[in-house]
Amino acid sequence: MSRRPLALALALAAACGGSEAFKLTADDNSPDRLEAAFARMGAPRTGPMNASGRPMAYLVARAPRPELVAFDLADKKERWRVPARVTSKVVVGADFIAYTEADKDLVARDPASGAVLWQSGLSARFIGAAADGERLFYTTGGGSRWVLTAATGRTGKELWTADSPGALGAPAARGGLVFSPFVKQWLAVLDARTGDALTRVRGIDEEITFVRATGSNVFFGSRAGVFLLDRRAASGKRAQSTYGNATLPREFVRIHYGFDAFDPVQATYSAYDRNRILWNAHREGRALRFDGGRVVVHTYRFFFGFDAATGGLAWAYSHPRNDVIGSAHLGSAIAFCSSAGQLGAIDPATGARIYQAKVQGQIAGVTFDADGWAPVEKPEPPQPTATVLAAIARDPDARFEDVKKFAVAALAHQGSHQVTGDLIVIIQSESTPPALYEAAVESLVARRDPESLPVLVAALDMQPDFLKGAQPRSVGVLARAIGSLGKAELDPAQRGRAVDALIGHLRAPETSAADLEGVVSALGAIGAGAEIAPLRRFVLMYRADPTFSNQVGAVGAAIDVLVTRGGPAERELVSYVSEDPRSQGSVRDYASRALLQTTTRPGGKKH
Amino acid sequence: MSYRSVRSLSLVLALVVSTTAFAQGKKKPARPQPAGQVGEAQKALVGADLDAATRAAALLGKDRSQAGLDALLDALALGLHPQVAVAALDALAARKKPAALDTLVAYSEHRNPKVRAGAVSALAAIDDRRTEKHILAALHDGHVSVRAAGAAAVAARKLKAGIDPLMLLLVKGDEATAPALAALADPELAKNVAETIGKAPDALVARCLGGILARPDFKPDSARVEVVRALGRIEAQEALEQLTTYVSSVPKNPPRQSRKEAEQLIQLKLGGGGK
Repeated sequence: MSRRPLALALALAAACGGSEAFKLTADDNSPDRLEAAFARMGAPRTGPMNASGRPMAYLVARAPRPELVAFDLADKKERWRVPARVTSKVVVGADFIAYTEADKDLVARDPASGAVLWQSGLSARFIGAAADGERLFYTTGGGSRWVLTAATGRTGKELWTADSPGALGAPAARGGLVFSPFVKQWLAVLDARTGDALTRVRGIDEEITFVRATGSNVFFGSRAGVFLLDRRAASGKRAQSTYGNATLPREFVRIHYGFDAFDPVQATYSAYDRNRILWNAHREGRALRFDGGRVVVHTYRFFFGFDAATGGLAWAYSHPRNDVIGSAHLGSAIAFCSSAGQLGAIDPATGARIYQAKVQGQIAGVTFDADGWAPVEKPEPPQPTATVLAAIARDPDARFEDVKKFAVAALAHQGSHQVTGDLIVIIQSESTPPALYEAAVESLVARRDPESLPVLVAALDMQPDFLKGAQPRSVGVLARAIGSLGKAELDPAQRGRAVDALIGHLRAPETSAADLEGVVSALGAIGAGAEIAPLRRFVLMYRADPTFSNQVGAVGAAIDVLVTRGGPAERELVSYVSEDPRSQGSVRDYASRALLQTTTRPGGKKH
Repeated sequence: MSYRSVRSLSLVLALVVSTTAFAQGKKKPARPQPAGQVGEAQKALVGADLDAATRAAALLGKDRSQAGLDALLDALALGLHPQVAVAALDALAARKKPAALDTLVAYSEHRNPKVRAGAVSALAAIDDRRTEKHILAALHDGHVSVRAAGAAAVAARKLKAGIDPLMLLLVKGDEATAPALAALADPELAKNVAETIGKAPDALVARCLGGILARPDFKPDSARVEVVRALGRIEAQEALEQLTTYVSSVPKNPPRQSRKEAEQLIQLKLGGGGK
């Protein structure tokens, strides 16, 4: 955490004062006060916030005209659609919804009809809002004056305000309590009815940049991890709190466990909604556990289910064509909506799609009020993870190179033999970007799957032919992948086919010098003796060729194979090459070194 | 090709692997050294002086002794600088010995296209049907000079199996196909060549048709007339040149319909109108 802005904020707070909740002198990190605050909290809520109890989605349409749409997820029906220029996320209370329009007005509507209940001008920049039952809480401010305001959701009547000289983040609310992050150092807990300061938690090990209330829990934390707001949270320390974080790949995941409460952009529907971690958690003993041991990464069109403990990929889901502009973890489903208005839900355990519906219009943002909703549609069987990963890797959308690299790397660990073919397609495609190509090559070589040998051989079997327009691609890579199977037990017939294909490329003049080295090494790895004769010929034929004078490359690799896998006859051949003046100097030197680095025991065994 | 079947290479390798003293660089000769000029050439061929080795190879090509042939085959089997290898292959082409077949096949796959082309030309010189598949394979080579050597070999050997690949190469615009197809053409093939107008480069088709007309053995005149008319359909300047060459190469008498039509077409083309 950056200390300088914090020090400045603290200095301002000390100098200017503020409401009781946002002073420096409060009694922080008191387990008893925290316990007392919890005692005021209402019973856990198990369903949606809205009074009807229906699972709802509130969708913000940008085209063909700016509209706000209320959609009943269970009935798959629009409840209403009204013109609205929504500029913030929609928050949902029991009997109202609220949002900002044109960044200057706070607007509340009737959730049943969409009719405007009230509208009020904002006097400062909107930071974020939360709703709980009949009350709306919102934060505005900037510079040295920040205000948390409570209002009645149906009427807009102001109930109380709490001023702060230091930055306040977007609040959360649950069961009669309001939770407000304060200068990224504290989480202030206030009475929702009166605004009275009840207690505060001061983060000691890490800053507090988000707070999130679900029906049954309140979580807070930062990029680093998640604290459950319970009695133990009063320690302010990870080790003594109910705290957890997930193991996630860092290549493409923007790791943050909640929307940054201090970033006004994240109070709007933005790219942050398309690139986030979805999770639910609970206490297990003294530990925080992610529900199902799972966290889900949503990144634009893709969802990945990870084992929270190991970071292992459990499943992948690719949404066709359109970006998914918003998503939410509802407990037993991950709900989402695409920019084309396709609503969906995924089983967080399997990645199977378990719901689909459609709303009209170009959708820019969505708020789900559907906690605990479990779609009852017949689920589509989830596609095999390897299939989804391969499709992601081949996706023509050029924006997602990091995701594709991750998909390719993850493919290497998938058991399906089809994966090898998928990786080969990526490698051989002319449209594959260089970085993705490299990742696919690494994955292919890392697989070391003996069952894939027929696929590799089939890909390698093509020989160059000008007349037919046949130009083998990625010969060196395929050879490396075959060579990586050198220590595996291989079907003798398949091994023979592989050796024949490799010898074909060794002899083909079209094989590039770079590929040739891989071919020679692969022959050495799996040749089982059949490689010796062609490699002897190769060394003799090219030892005097100036093509190999600067870079001995394949000739050197062939010499290595001959001295390590051949017998006395091959050592004599290499010895001849090392001494004959017609051999290129670099080849002579290489042959001499190769002989020196290997000695022969009686009986011809090298060591 | 199986490397193990390369006679001379196996022979030399047998020497290399079985004669430790040779492998260690001691000058223990594997065969009785021939005396005189061939002996000197043999030494030069395996020496470090590239130009001397190149001259030696040329000399051994003119020699008719078995020792000279063995010297060339052994040198190629042990590996030569490409410049020397080309000269050695040219020498083998001059010797036209089936004994060189396996070595030539091995070198027809060399990474250096000049070497490959030399090997193909040498294969073409050997009167042995086993060379044919290797000559035909050269038509599939990625390098134009090797395909040209293959095309010339197909023409020289009158290999009918080479006609289809040559036709494909004609459409792809390979220059060497024009003289090769012209050499192979009968009236039917000439008709097929004419049908590539609009698919193959105009100038190349014109040269091929002109080459056919230039062959005294291409008959009857009705077939020549068809070729002339095909040239008339080609707008490229090359067609006019080929027609002009044909007219000037054929005497007025006895009169030939093909010559007469060629003259008319020339007039038409010079007048600015083409058919």
